[in-house]
Amino acid sequence: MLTQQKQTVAVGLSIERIDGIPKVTGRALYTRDIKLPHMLYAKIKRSNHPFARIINVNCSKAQELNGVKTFVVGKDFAPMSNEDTPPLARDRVQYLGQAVVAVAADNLQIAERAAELVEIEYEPLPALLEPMLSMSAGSPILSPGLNNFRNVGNYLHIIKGNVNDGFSKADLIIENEFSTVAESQFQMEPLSFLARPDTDGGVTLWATSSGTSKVKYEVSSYLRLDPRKVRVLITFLGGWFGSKEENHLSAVCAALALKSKRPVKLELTRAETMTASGVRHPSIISIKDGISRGGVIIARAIRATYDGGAYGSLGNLMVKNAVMTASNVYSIPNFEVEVYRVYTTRVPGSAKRAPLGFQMAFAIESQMDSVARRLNLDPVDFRLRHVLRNGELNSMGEETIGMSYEVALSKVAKEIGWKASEPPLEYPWKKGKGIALAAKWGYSAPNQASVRVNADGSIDVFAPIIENGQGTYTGILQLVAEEFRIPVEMVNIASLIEGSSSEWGIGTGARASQQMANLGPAVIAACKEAKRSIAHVAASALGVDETDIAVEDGKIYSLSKPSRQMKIKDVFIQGSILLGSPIYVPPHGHGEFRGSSTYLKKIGHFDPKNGQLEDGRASPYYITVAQAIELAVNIETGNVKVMKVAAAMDVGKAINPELVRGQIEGSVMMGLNAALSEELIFSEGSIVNANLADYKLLTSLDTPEILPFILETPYEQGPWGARGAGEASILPTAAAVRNAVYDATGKWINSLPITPEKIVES
Amino acid sequence: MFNPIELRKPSTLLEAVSDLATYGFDARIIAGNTALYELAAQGGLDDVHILIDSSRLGLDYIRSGTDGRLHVGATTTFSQLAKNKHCLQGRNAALGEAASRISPPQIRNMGTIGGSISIGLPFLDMPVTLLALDAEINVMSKDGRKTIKIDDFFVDYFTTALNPEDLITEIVFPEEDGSSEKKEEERGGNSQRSVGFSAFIKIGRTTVDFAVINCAVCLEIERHESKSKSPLVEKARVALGCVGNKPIRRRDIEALLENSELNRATIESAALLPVDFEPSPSIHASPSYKKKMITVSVREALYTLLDRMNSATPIS
Repeated sequence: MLTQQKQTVAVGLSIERIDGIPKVTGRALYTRDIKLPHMLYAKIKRSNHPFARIINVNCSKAQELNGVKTFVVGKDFAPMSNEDTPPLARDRVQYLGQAVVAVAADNLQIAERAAELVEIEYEPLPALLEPMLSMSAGSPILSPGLNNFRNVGNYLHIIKGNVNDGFSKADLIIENEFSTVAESQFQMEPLSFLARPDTDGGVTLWATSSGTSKVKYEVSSYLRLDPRKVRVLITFLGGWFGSKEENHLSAVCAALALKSKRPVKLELTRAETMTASGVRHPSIISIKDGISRGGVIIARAIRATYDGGAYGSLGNLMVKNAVMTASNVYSIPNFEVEVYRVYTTRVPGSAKRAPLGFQMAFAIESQMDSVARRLNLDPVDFRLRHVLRNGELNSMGEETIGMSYEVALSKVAKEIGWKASEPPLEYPWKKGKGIALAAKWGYSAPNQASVRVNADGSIDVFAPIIENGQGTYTGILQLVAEEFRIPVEMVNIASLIEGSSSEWGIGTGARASQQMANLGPAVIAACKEAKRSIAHVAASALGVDETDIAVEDGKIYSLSKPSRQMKIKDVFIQGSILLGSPIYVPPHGHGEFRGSSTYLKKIGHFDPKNGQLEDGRASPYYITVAQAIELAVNIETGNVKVMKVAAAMDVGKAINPELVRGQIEGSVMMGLNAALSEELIFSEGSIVNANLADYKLLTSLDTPEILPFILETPYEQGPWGARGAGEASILPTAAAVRNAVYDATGKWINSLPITPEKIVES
Repeated sequence: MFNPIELRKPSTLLEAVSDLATYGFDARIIAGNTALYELAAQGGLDDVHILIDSSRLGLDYIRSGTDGRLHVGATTTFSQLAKNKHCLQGRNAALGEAASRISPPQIRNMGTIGGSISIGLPFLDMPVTLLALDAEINVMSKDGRKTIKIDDFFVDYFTTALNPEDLITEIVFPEEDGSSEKKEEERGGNSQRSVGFSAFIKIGRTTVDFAVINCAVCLEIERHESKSKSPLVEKARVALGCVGNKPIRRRDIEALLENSELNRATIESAALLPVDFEPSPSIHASPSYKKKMITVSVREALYTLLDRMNSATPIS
């Protein structure tokens, strides 16, 4: 596949995205757009305590309101075996803002009033707002957690070599502590859900969620329903970034619909969305390096503590992201990383673009600069001295394959004018440059797709693709157009009309940048199978063996005798239904010309003793990212003006280069936000800035010149060699900013965000 | 929950003040008060049931009056202020500067000068600017018209000298060439008239942001013909926002500046006068950082003014 010489018709071209015009003209369908007859509106009553026992829930006053239809509470839901987050709190609340009761009423005003009238009696408990406190002996147990550690939801420990030996042989020890804060994903579209009770006793759900299968199986388990009876449709999403990983609210909405026997709409406000989506895990990461006289890191020990908040919320599963980030990029003979995810009584830590790895990359790439500067070494040269070469084993014992650390780093350094001497800026502005390098892990989970060939040569694609703005509808369409070598207009992505359906097969959805790398191969395999089904029928007509047949550009022809060919239409026969125009169907006895496939790549497990990989790989592939940033610091006010960002990302193959550049630019902006501005501020467990005036986001006016560079080192199993593109470019940004601020001011800021105040006061 | 049930659209001032008199606290004027939405979201408008549209009252004007003063209608938008030549130069330059720093353009196109002072929020950019420029607020109610001096206008957080039935009609700025006493002197044949300059400085975290500290300074200097001499400050007004429950004046700095020549030494000593009060903390900035930013913004405003004075054409 990778050696194909023919010029492509779709892959690698920046074709216009198919959802572009529907979106800018307002025709694209979002969950909030959908209304059903006799629909009720839901509202959630939330906890106003960070930690409390629920003594009593009294809905009687609310019940008396005219128009109130039904309530659901925590005990209406079954616990889920692999997830500890209850859709509604059961016996106690573990964070401020946790959902406790949901009400459905004739309209939103009545539902809101009813939620106000619900009376919940609490017995407040002392809140555990800091991970260190929560881990300490004597703290109340927030979750059964792990046996050895109090309130630790997951712990991973990777050991390579012997760090203590390494430290004792080192000539210099440099140790730093880095910290990051909670951030919201702050996608444009607040969370929305719609549930319709169905005639078979099941439910159809429209949900702002990351994946159809995820909702189907989680909701069926929370509601003890047969999964066959939970159908899920996911329309366009107005941004995602990890905000829609959890489906507790899908279950709440479904429960209200089943109980009231009416469709129910649940729409969260912005402030509720910021709580319900979970937050980027705050973290404290300390790194200790032992350095030889020659200026080489010979030992590194990392200890990372992530504040997981009140529940698992996928966070426990994501601990390995931190480990994979720490174990790649650099070759260090003696290495150890310990990662803890700790329960506290705060909003759960959940996914946000490159979850847990983002924090780790900030710490490591900051440490690399601190060490290089201390040794009076150039940060680029210092990194190049340590990067893993292809073929070398990383700290987990995984072979380094297809990485482009040197190329990426050198490219961005050159573009930013790394060693160029430039005239100073006018007082009080000082210029600085910073650089950072990282590797983003991949992900493996099952994905299914099917395609149908129509008589006019067009192709219908049925795959649970999630389009959250990244452009995957378009990317998948390009794969199909290429496989059949037809114009992109001849491919119909069924999801474009009403969203993706859980009934089209298993879909892992938009998470971990996995759709192109994992769904893409399933789509291509489905196309090949559909072509075989045509070849099977065409073989006798063409008088050749079916393996000798190609289906391309609307034609079916013999590979050995290309003059023997027919149109796709010729494998269909004409029929009619009453007075309608002629229709074309496959011959009697044949099914649709269809193909379907499943893609699932096996990945390995960590040895619980030393964290080394027991078999295979921790990640099917990694993505190299490097960034160099030029900025100016106002040394009087501490304001930072980012001027230029050179960003390289190795995506294996850019199926649509323009969309990949969009992902790089979006990631860089989100990274700059995390570096300079974003922070959810808590007071006694309550978010005090859950609005856009106080939760400060950079805007287009703060956007620097971004130079995206696409590198293409193929990933053998990827479609056309493609890896993911959605998250990786956020990894280096914050450290590159921090390193550039040092270059400008001589101040190391080791905590995010790097606010003007920190720069002035440090 | 904010749930207005009626929108009134008066087309004359009399209708508008009559509506205000009738509904009092039950009504709010829609006039580009950019904090109204947030106020509603926080439940601050739950008792308001009537909205009064002020867009047909003809209050969006900027004109130089026959009295020599600048008159700005209450519903004049920030965009209008940011591009009107009367608000971009001389004594009123801070007005245009403050208006153009309000972001984003959508807010500048909707937000109005009257709206942004009526709410009584100490961190907005118009209150501090008007305080420095010594503006007067013309107000109308069913009982007639009155004028409130800007020094008396801001009372406390969310509180101004306005009564519920009052409608701001216009904001009036002093003459370009200073106080009326000077005018008397001029009539007496004295050519030593004063001339005014102003500057607005905003320190925020991002381009689109409320200020962490905002500062407006207006200086009236003795008009002189030679550029070799440092300008002599006759009157100074130094105003700061974001430091307490209302915008304040730094009278210590004003006193230091008045009757001094404006030069590097004066500016440094003025900026470095100790901040002898504790600025109110916010989630955006600590009092300690705010104190430093007060010094930075006052210094920057004064240097900006010195530059402007030096580049202004001396008028004989």
